[in-house]
Amino acid sequence: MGKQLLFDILEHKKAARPAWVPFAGIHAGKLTGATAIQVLKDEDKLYDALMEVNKLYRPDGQPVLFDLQVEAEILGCELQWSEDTPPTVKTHPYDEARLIPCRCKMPTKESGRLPMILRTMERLKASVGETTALYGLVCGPFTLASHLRGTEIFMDMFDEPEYVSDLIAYCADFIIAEAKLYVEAGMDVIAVVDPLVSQISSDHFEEFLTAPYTKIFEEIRKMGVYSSFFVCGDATRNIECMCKTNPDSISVDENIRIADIRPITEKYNVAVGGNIPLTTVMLHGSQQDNMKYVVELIDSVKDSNHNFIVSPGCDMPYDVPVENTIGAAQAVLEYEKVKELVKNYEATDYSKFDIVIPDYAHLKKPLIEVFTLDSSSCAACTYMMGMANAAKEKYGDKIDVVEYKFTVKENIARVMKMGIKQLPSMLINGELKYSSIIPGLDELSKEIEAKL
Amino acid sequence: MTEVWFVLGYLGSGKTTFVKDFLARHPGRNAVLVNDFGAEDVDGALLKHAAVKVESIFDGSVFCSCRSEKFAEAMIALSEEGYERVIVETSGLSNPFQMRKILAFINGRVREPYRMRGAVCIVDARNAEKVLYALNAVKMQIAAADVILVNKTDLADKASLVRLEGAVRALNADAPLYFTTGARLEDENFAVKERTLPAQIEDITVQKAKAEFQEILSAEELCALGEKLSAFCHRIKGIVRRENGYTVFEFADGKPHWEETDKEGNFLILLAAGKFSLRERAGQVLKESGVAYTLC
Repeated sequence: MGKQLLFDILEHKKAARPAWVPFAGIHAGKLTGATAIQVLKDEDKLYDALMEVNKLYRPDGQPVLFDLQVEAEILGCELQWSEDTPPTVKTHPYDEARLIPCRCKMPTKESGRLPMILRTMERLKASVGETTALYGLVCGPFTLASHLRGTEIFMDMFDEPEYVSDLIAYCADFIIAEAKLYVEAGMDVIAVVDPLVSQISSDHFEEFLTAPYTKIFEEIRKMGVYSSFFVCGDATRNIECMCKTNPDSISVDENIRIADIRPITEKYNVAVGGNIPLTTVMLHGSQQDNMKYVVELIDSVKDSNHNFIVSPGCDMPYDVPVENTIGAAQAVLEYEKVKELVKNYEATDYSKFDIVIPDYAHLKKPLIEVFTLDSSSCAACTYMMGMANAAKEKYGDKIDVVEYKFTVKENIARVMKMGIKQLPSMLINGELKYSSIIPGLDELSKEIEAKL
Repeated sequence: MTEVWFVLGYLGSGKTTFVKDFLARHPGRNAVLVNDFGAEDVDGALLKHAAVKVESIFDGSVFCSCRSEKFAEAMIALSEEGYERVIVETSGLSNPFQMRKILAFINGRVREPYRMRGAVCIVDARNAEKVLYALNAVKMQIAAADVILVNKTDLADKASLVRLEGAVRALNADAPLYFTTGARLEDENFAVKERTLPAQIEDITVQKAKAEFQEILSAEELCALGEKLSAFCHRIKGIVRRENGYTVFEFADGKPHWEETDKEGNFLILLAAGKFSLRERAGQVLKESGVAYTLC
């Protein structure tokens, strides 16, 4: 399971289930209270956040840093930073003149933010690398070329196509050099992320991108790791061209229906990943919406245990509620159970259940109620239940602890009746204390002692 | 009920000019969402109208069409503030179909749903052919528009305006289309429709051909060739042999351009867009000129 399952998918073998790769880039920071700037610049904050992602979301694979501006920054672009989004490129060094950067700017271990990134990769590899495949993300050559040249690049495609080809060729060499550093630091998959690919026609793809991408994926293969080609937007017409460049997998966002492109990706035996909608489902949907979406996504993909990776459509927004990703993870990892749960949730009239709510005002001792998706399979639920059990061990008969698993119909009715929105959640004497975030024993003890 | 206007168009097409003009003619409680990194700073000009609220959203990356959380967040917040109009000045690379989906989603979540008043697409007559050639987003913006303004017509020649009208109509057959110089929308009486991208927008076919010459061509011969080829080629450029070395030759804007080079060669690269055989047509021109050539 885990890493090996993802490797099997990338080697186009049949697996026990689809793989699960949550793209928690800046969102990782939310789990530890770090800002986007902190996780993109500070090694310790990034490492801690990624460890939390690994713990709560149980990924088969996870990216280390999701920032398409790392390369542009090395090559002289100024960035505009934000607390809750990735940075944007503010200046384009070649917007005034059609120049190619010097070969002397090819990346080394000392370039830009690479020292911090490489050290984090090595630390993460040592901590979770046995069980989780690690993704090193690089900015695709077309998007990188546009960072350098600005929007003039689109005019150049008309006026000076040779220049565009030369600039993209330089960018391709740049990211190959960067990928080598990432592989040395332990990355198992190199993902080339090129949002701009959806902006151009398949003719233009063939003219400008087929050769550099074929070279990139060939070089990544020679490094002995797997490759992925990420695109954003409606790139439906370019999927075939992308497959022809021979990546091990491609990843798409909500603008593309995976079922629609599956015949093409299967024809070229390329794994496909995606595409939980970022805003409407992950950010603004409920936990049930996320579980339902993932179940339906898996159902929509023919032969989903083969060549299929479930992931968000792109880098997750910072503020995605933790429980939503937990729900999505649970739907991939425990598909059958969650499918049944979603079915029950929608088809059952829960008002018929006779649910007795404890008389919280007159309890003889503190009551800890933990509402979980299922503490035997959902990591965050396991940790939250584990903490409740640790408290029980500490306080013995002085407190009561009970778990309500969402897999039981009566418990769904209870969750509804009590108005609980997220799982896992912990209530003390009927008062909601923790949702998705796991308390430490000291913190929990203080809460309990206040009620003793 | 707050009305929403989407202002679509590529960078530099005149979106900000449109917004300024629109606000001047629609006083009242207006809010403007700007999602165009690097766009002209509109704040100062717009804030002269005391009731206008201007908010910039960059969504993490101007190039990344999938990041819509800031747009959704801003629209949800503005829905509570009782504006008469919210004008969304979109990024030059926005997918307007996705924006409409997000708006529908938002309307299902807010207490006071928005009323879609229209999507105005502004097309820069000077460079529209180039951006249509290069960018799918621009095609989508035209297809999604309820009204289209072809702007800066004073800076484009008549023939290119005719070609542009044809290209626009292939993407959007029925939205009112106006030719303007100052991005002004005179008639706001247009229908707002659910629009979809035509299922089959054919990519503009890019064709490339290389004409190699065995002998030295005179400047007159090259200019004559350039003039004839430019009727259907958007680019005629190459390295040509001269008596005293080699020169980059380009035929553009109706005239020849010469530039020194240390590279060697005796060829022209031809680029054309359209559904015809470039080799066939170029071959005909070269044959008629009487020069010795090979075409590949």
